[in-house]
Amino acid sequence: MNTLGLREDNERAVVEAACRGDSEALAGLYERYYATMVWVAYSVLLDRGLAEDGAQQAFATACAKMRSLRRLDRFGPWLATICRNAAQDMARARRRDAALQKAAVVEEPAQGNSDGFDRAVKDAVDGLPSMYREVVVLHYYSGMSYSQIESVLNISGDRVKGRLARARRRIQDRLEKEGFRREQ
Amino acid sequence: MERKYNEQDLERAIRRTAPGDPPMPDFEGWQKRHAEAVSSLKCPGDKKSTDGLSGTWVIRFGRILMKKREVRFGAVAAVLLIALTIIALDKGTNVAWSMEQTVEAIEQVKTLYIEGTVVWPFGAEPGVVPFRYWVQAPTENSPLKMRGEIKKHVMIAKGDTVYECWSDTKTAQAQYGPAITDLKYWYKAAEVGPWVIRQMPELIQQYATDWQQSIERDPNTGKERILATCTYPPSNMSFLLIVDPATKLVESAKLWNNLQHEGEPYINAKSFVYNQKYPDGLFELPADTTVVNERDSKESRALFDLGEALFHKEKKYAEAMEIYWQVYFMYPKLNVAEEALMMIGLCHGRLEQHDKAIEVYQKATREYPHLKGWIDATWFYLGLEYMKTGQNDKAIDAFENCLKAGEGVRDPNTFPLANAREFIVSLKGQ
Repeated sequence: MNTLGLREDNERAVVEAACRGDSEALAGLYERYYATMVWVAYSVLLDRGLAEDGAQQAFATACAKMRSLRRLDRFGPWLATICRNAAQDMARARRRDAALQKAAVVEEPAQGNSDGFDRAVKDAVDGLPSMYREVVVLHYYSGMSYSQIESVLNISGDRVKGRLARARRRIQDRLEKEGFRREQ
Repeated sequence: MERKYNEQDLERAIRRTAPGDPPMPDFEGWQKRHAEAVSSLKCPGDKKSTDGLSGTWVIRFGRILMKKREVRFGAVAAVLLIALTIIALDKGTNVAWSMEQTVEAIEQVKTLYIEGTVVWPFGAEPGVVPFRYWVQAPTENSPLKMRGEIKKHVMIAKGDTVYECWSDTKTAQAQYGPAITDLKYWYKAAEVGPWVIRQMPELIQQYATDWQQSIERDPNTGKERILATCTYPPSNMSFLLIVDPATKLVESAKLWNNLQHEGEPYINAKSFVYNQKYPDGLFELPADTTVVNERDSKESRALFDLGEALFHKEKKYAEAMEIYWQVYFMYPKLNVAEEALMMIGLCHGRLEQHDKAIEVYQKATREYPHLKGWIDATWFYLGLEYMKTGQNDKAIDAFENCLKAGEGVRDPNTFPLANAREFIVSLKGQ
């Protein structure tokens, strides 16, 4: 199953139609993958506005390259790779401009409880290595199941679970340093 | 001072830190900004790209079969439509049978009953499950009526109103049928009529391939039957249709998610029964069913969310409790009422009112014992409260009830089932 639970064979038909210029099919793919791509880009950029730009740029690049897509049933992972690359390009460009970087890193503060737990959790998530952050963002922010993440990142379900477990452990370690202890 | 949290607190906190609202796609806006990219996909010589109606129809046609949760009854609807349209690819070369005869025959049909199996990919127990589907064609005096059953899920449609319910609850959700992706093809069929789409054969004709038909004898009955097979490469589907040469009506149909007709069919419509007289009440909800409209559902959820904000963000447990009680009293028949009771229990727990928490959890498990939503978590929290008050035997019972309630509903390795198992082991070891 792919990101939205559609089967790969059906997805192949939609991608094939989009390759032929069917605008409804293209709209379908855009609607299906847009949110996921925003979160993929966000996990690199940590900036929601830039992530939306990155996702849109990824779709434009995908349109230009779509005819070269060989495995029509792998559209999701292919698009995610394009999106990740686009976001990394944006991040590199941003690093060149220190001021912009500073502005972008200051994300809106997380709303939440007053004891700073949410803030600490947010910092811990943002501080994860990008490989772990990506699955955390897709699972918790986007609400994707393990199998949906598996299909869009083209990695096995066990690896998804493993990365999430390791990410949670790192978050817990970080929280412990901040004075929050997990109840057993 | 050390502050404590549990796994659930952590997961909720991670979700809360998501920046902004969920991303909303704006295809039109994007298309305007990236017109060049979009135009690079256009291929003037491609017939299908210029024939928008055909292309989109076929894509929708594929979507309805595969669309996530909505596959349920639409898949059954689609099998009949496919049966009737793919057969039409035959150009009438076979003197014994042509699609025109089947269309004429189907136009005389007033009721149709289909039963068979469908691959059910959802929930904790995916597999092949039986389905039953009844349709009564619309007439001048009566709207289209349908009833579908897959597992415990029941759908009844009368005209534009569709009721969805589960056989182990007494609540049905009323919806506007033609807006349901899953069902709109039935409605479409009813409109174009008499109730079978005549246009579809022409639209789909250019897509299907490998049409083959033959007349064989049924090895079990010795009766002659027409076997027709074809494939539908854009959706990677293949079909087998069996038609009765005498009546020209489809007797059974299979659909595979591959081009080779191999393996377990995605849909195996084993039996089509035409013009059967249906029992009274087939299209009626049970008398004790409470019908919930979408408005109630949304309003109750909005009220519940107010309580959630007080509980999670502001930590105002007493105030949150007031809201949750309102949800329970105003919408006792909705699933959200049970969730509200559970949250009331949590509020009491946070306020160190453990006896009251236990009372409320017991009320929830007594009043909503079969509700598959939060009842397993409610049993879990009840177990926790028993533990806190030193009632370990009762705690074990509650955790075991949690496992029973969550079996087949939740992933056994996640909250609360994994936690309940851990506590049972721990308590029994003491």
